[in-house]
Amino acid sequence: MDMVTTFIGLIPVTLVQSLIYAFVALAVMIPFRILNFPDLSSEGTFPLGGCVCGALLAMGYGPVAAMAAGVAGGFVAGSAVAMIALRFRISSLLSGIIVITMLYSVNLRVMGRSNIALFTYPTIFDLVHPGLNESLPGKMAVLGATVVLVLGLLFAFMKTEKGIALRAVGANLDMAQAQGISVWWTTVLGVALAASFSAFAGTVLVQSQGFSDVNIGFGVVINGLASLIIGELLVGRQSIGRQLLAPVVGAIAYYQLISVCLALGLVPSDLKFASGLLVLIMLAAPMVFGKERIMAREKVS
Amino acid sequence: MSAGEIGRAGSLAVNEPRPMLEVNGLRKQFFAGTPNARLALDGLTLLLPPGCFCVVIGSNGAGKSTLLNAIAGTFLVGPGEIKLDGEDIGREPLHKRARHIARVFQDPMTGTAPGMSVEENLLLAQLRAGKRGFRFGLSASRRAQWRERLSLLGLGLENRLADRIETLSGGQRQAVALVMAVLSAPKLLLLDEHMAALDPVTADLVLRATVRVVEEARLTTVMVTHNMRHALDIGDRLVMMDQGRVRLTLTREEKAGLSVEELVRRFREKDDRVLLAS
Repeated sequence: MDMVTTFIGLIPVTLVQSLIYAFVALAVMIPFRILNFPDLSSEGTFPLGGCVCGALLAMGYGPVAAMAAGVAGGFVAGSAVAMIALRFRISSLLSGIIVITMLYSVNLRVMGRSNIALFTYPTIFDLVHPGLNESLPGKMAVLGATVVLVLGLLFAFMKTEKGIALRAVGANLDMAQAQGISVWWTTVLGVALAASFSAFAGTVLVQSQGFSDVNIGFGVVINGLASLIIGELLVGRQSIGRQLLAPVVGAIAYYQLISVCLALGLVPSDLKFASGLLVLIMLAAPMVFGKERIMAREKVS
Repeated sequence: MSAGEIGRAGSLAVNEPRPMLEVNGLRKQFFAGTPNARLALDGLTLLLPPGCFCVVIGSNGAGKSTLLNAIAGTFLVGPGEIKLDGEDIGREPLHKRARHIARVFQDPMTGTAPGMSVEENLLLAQLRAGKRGFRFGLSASRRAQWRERLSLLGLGLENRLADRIETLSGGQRQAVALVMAVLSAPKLLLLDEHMAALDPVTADLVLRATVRVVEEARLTTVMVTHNMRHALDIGDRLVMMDQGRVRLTLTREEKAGLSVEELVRRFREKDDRVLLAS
């Protein structure tokens, strides 16, 4: 009984958390699923957004300017990941890791130290409504509305002439080029857009939790990937609408799952292992079950 | 292509025609600087007047596909120039050349984007020469236009605009790819053994559709094929390639009475002469 009350008590916090991390899951999904350009750089762009935003808030800038700067930083970093991979023909994963590593130093430079407390500065939540930062349902409403708005805009964009060109690059690179689409610019802008979402999540997180830290990115890619996989399991990816919905639904489900684990008494420090294991199982499942099915068939024949 | 453009192409053909495609002294070496170095194109020259339907044949390794790739811009060639409608395109990247050059590949999978609908694929092709904006691309007028184009194929594809392209058969996909290629009135159409992966019945259907769309729009076309029968039956010009060069060119009149056996004999004859000369 105790366990259930703990879980229920955690729901509002977890929902706020998952609505923030939904943007990271979206940032993992866009390059991976739509552009066919697997990219892990969220691990670096997420804290970059947070650190830039935190540093500017602490310098006295308003939350809108601080967030815009954080998102712009993510955009630049994302462009860099794509440009390095395309120009030097390096694997996108490696290019992402190089940028993540370099961003760690950048983040420390930007903040001047490894963390900054932001409790005393006005945040974007205060801007929407004074005192909103203390109200979980209020935060939930604002974040939920933002997620819906972004998903709606993305869905509309994917149906525009530019959006269809973007999807074509991921679906069939040769065909896209043969239809006059610049793979270079499309990939760079697509990855940069995704990185902007990740950085945006970082800017929201530091304001929501009241402090900015260079280590907030640790493990977010695996969480994003786990969210995406769970979301695809739940809503599928047969259409562009479902594909866009999957990371958001997945993030909500995933953080509830984590919450269940915590309620069951799992130590928070073991969570990373659990997340990694979850992703591994999800990725391995089709392979393992597929094999068993093939072996069973061979036995019959 | 609009009526005006057809008229212009026609008048050019009457006067001293400027070649639509001008390939001069094209050289391309693969694995250059290694013991496996191979000259795929050896100073190849090819001039096609506007509206010319040129069929290219040749044995494996003759350089046919290399020629198409060189024109399309899959790689940059060494010495030599490529001019399209008088404009030097030899240094342009592939996606820039694609504004004026359409292509149908051998594998139906190569020419279409999976996971996207038939109409989305058609839209991609429609905008090949133009700007892509933040507009919704799938308008009623475009759909009507596509339906009309697809209905000409007689495959019932006009009713499948919203279906995902991978639900179509290989032949149907190739037919859509062909329609896609001619949607934006390219200056040059490249057909790279586009019927080789199809069964004979479907291949025949795609062939007839090809001849119709090419002749209707008077498209300057280079078609690579292994099928001698097709090479004799269609097109204004037959070009035989060997070792990266054009060995034999036959006009429509010259190939009119020729049988497949005769063509094969002349092919061998050229081959022998090459062997003796080298």
